[in-house]
Amino acid sequence: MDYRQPLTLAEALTLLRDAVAPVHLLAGGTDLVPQLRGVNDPTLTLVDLKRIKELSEFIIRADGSAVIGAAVSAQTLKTHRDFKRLWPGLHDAAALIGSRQIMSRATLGGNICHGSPAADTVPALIAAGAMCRICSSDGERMVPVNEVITSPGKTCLRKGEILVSVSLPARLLRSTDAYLRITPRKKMDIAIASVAVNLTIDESLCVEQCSVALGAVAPVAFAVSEVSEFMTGQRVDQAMMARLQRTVRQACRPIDDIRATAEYRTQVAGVLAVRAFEMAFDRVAENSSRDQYS
Amino acid sequence: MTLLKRQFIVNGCTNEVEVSSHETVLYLLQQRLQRDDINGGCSRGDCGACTLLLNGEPVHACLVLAAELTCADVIETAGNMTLNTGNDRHIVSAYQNYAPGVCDFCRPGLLISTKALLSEMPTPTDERIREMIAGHLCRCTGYDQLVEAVNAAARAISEDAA
Repeated sequence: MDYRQPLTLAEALTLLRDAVAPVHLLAGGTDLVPQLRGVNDPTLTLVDLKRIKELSEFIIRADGSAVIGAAVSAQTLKTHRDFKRLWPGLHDAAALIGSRQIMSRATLGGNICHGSPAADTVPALIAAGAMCRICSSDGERMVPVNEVITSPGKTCLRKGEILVSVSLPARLLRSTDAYLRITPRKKMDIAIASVAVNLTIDESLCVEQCSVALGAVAPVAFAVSEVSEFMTGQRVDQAMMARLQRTVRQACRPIDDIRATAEYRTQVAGVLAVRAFEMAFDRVAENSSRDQYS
Repeated sequence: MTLLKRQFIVNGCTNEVEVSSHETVLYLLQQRLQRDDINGGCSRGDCGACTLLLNGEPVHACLVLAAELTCADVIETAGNMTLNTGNDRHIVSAYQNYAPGVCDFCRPGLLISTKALLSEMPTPTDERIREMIAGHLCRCTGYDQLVEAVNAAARAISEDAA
């Protein structure tokens, strides 16, 4: 195995373009290093991306928009104060990734590109409308997060391409997000079901925009597009919550496995969706009243 | 097989070694540098036995490749803590007094994680301590002793600082 540590994006892309044998991209290594144990294939090339500036930068602008390098660690996301204030749902999702030791190493890009249906940050990124910057030696393209993961363990990345960063849009007034998941253990476990809600409320407390994304209840995480259709412009009431719960359950396509039955996942996804919506709604109300009196 | 020359610091001492591209920091420290203050368990980042500080951050040595190390990297293992004074001594004593059941297999990793937790959060709640412990498997103590030990270490450190 050949280990390479490019210092610039151009160098990394050239390496990938010229590679004839299989290449593995290494970021945090929390999934890749155990997979490589016992593998000593001399033709394999391991390209370590951590020293590349574009993959390590983390920029949050005054309007709440952000650019997060693919090699930024979960711990960096967890401890960034502005990030927690502006994107609390995505912050919570990143903070749930694993033990403290895993948090030091696991990266946002790795969480996406590993392609797990239960990846914690992915539903939160989808709900936020995040875009992935994917570069190759031929140029670059911006792809919505929900189109990056095509099936479990597979991404849309072609040979020679690298996920460089993830962009979050500007934060509108009275908007926030929330992420909830259910696991048998609180930490060090994989979600049975997870829900992310990104919400904007208008001055009269009606829904201006709401996106809901689900994880672990289908082969890939996805957005429930029907939600915004019936919520936009409507006042929040019990009937709306009941419809949200119904719509989320209808959208689920889960499997039975060792952690939960499909029926349980479907049931619990509906409950989580309502709780996540209420959490986001309360956060907006809290932020608005604080702004009013500050 | 290509060997890569790597220089890094372990517990204040500079090491210069040639590493292969697929060996982990755990293998390097335990098997090649013959250190007895780090243990390997699951080799996939679950058990926490190989936890060390890499530039002040707790990491699993089994998940970091030795090839990733540079001359700027500083590693600290639990062996250093038993020799140190100050906060490290309080943590080691708290484990001796409040978690005597914990064996030498898990203890090095737990000491390191405790040091990392108390440097980030000098007075952690029981919930935060249990979150830290979630990164370690320990069959000897039933975990409650560990919570007591971390609380005792936090108290001793804050009394010392007062």
